[in-house]
Amino acid sequence: MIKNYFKIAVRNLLKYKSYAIINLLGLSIGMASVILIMLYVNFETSFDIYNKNADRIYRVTREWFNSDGSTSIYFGFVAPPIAPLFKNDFEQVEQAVRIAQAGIANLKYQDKIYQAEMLSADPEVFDVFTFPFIQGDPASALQIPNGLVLTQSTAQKIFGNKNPLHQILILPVTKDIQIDLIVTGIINDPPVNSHFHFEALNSMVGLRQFYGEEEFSNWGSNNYATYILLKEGANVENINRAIPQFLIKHLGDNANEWNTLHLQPLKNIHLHSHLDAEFEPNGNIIYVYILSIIAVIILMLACVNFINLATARSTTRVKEIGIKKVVGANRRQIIVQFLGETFILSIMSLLIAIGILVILRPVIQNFFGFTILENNVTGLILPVISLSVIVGLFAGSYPAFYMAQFPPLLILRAFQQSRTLKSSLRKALVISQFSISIILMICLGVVFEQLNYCKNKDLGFDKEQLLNLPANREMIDNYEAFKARLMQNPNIAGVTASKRVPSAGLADNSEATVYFDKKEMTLGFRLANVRVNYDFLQVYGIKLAAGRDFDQTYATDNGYAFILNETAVQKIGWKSPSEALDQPMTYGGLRGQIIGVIKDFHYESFHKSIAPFMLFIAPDDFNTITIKLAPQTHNTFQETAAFLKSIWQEYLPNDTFHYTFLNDRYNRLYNTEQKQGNLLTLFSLLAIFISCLGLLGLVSFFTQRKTKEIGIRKALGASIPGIILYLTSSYIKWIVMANIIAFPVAWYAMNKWLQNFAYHVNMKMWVYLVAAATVLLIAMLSVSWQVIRAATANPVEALRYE
Amino acid sequence: MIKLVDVEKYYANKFIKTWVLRNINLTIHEGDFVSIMGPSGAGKSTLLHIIGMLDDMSGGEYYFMDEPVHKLNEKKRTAFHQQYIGFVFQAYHLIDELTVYENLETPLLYKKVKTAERKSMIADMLDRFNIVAKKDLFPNQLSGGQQQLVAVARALIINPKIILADEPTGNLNSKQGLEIMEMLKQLNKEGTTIIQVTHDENKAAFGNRIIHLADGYVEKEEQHG
Repeated sequence: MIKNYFKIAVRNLLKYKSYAIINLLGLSIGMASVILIMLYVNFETSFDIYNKNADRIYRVTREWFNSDGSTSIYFGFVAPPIAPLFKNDFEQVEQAVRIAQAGIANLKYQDKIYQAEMLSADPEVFDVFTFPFIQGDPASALQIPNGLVLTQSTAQKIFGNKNPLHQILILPVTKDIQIDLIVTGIINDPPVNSHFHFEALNSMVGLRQFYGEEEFSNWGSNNYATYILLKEGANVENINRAIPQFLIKHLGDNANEWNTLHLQPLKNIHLHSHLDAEFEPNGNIIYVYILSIIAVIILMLACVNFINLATARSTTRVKEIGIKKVVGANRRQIIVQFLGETFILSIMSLLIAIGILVILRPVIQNFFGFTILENNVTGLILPVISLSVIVGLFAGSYPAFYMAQFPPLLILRAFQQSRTLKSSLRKALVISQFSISIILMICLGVVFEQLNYCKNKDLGFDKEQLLNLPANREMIDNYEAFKARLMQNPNIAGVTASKRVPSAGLADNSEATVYFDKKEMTLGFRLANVRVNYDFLQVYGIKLAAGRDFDQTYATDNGYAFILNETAVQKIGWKSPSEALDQPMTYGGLRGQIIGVIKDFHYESFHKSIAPFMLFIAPDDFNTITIKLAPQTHNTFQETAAFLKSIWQEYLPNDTFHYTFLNDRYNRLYNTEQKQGNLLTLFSLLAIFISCLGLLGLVSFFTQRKTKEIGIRKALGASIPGIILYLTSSYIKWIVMANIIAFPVAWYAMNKWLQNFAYHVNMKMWVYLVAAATVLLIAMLSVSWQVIRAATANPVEALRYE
Repeated sequence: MIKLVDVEKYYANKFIKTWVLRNINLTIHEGDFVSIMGPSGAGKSTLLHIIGMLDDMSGGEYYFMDEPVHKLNEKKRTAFHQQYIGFVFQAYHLIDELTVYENLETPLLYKKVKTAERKSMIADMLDRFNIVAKKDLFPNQLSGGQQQLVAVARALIINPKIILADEPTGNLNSKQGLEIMEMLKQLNKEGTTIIQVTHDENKAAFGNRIIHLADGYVEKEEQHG
């Protein structure tokens, strides 16, 4: 019996090839999208679960408050004393460890320099995190102050086939100081799906000796990611409840008024944590949801195609069903047959889908920015198989039940022009397909308009032609000389240095006081700061609203002069920038005067409103040098870069020269949106493609059925354009209705999305119209091919065939 | 074997009833060869479909081997098809996607006949109709007469008590038609009850009873030999 069904299914597929191709194409693309999104979701939700004790690990985070109780800043890193105190104060904490970023380390081995991303960690880090050792002893590896644990690939890179254990690597810290690190352990490379990555781990014990006890008791140095491992069976709520008391004990009675600590489950970090300081930009659960929804939608579109085509074309199967019923088949057997056919199709589509993914795998990884992992794949076998079952059931049920209820007489009466088979349902399905395509198109338009806006809107300063060079201690010591050398080159228009550069967050702040009526008053909001060097305003092209720039000729400008932005002036309560001039102010222990007010500019991304901040001169406290290239340097850039490199290496022969364009840094702020936009492009194109595929199938079928009618109409004198209009008018009507449904939905969704930006475009009608027109155009193109063919056919031909 | 009592059939279209069959009282015995004749629209095919349980009656009673068909559900009726009734149509109605062999196999599949038994039954039938060489061909590769031959073979393969034939020779040339009629006659001699619909007097004469329908009524009945 199954063999019989199978034969009929396969022969039908072969007989109606275009129909089979439309179905296979639609279903396999739909399935490929769904599997792809499954892989993505599986990857995104698999972060940090490689840790055996992942369920018991929490990260300590710290939140600071403004005087009105609102959040001023919220860090994923906390102060160094917190880890030991947690272990000491809370009986339920089994272990607490700190991990600090040490940046890119230049490790010297046999006169060659190797770069490795380094973290500093407490020796007990391996009690908390699961990093299997290939060589060395996890318990002692980082107990040694100069111990160094390397990942396997890094060890391979540096030592090749030599045994890396107990080898010495030299880490230059400054011009005069260098530290010998001894390799005490080799571990497997940390998994890709970890919320932090590294190539080398050095010992916190060594860091402590280097920085001294002062740093490690400093509650203001929030640079240490702190993880606690709870004892088995411990309840995190008990610790949460005890945190206020803990803070009072260690920071004084009012501690809870200005800051607090939170415990974040390790497994939530990647998708749920977006704090002001994180190891790496994290994923977002919202995108996981959005993509999951899109996956379901695309699959539904493909299934709808199948349902539409199967029911529309059911008349071609009427005879077979009728005969089978006459020779003794019952309803159930017919249903089983047709469901079976859908399953065959579904399994074929699944195989094609897997084929597509295997072929496109490298492109996909690049495009989606995620890795397809072994364990992802094996974990998905069952869901993927059930996917084909679900598709088979979902797409197959309705047509199967629908066809099984045909009375056998339908054929025996040679009743060819059967009833208009539930055409209203089919209409509704096509309309919803196109609504979805139009919605996706509109979203696409708005997302790209906003991205364009973010990248091109005037930031309030000149971000073009700016190069950033990272500076270390050694460079800081030589900065003035370095700058003087650079300024001799006519291709360089300016040089400055600062602790942070625009596009990075405004992470630093201190307490500030100003004077009103001679009374000192503490500011009730967070006034961030940027430590800068001279020429900062000039290099960045930041305009003054009042007062003057820092000037090296005024001795007091070094530490006793402040420049505020307009927002800060306004928030403090001065009526105009000029009113703020010469006002005394204290800032984090510095006592000085406001010498200038700068016009507001977008220091941070457009996601955030312009924050109040101030600048002051800190000649020795910077980590980035910014160079403004002179306008004519377009053609001479290579030359200038070579010049920069040569000067740089005069001062820092051991260091690799490395620069970034500020422009790129700004663009990177919208990486997530760019990625979202790309995904949206991909999936909306797929959705439109699948919808059009279905429409094409329907149109060609109906047009074929209307061949005779068209012949008669033409014989009666209808014109070709008249016939085309007659045949297409109902499809146009469908698409117009799809637009009516799509517009409000798209408007609502995009309005929500734009709320993510403090500065955003206003949605424009043209985006909607373009989306509508595009979908209409594409749909009409697929319709017209069939229709024009039918309309221009010789009527005699059409009539003769009957 | 078949007893129809006051069978009627109409189509209700809003307020107008269109009568197809009225007052049909008919008894058909085992071994009969009945020809139903009449002009177009007389209700011949409808009567055949009702007897074949493909169509519902609007009123009246229908006993098939003493079972009240008018009271049976679909499942039971399907069981009757499978066991007792074979159909032959004017347009042959073979499944286009299946070969001759597979077309003959289909009713057996629905009857859940075991594979080995199925094979021998089909082989017998191919033999008997002399179409062994054609078994792997598809219907569209056969002439009309050959197709109808396969259709008769398919009807016979379940070894039915009765064959219902709706204008079985309507699409065939006279030679082919005659062959099919001879075939039916032979089957009748072997004990199969046959009811055929036709408007060809010559073909009708193959039966031992001829029932004339007009406007839904039984007009007259002739008995032969």
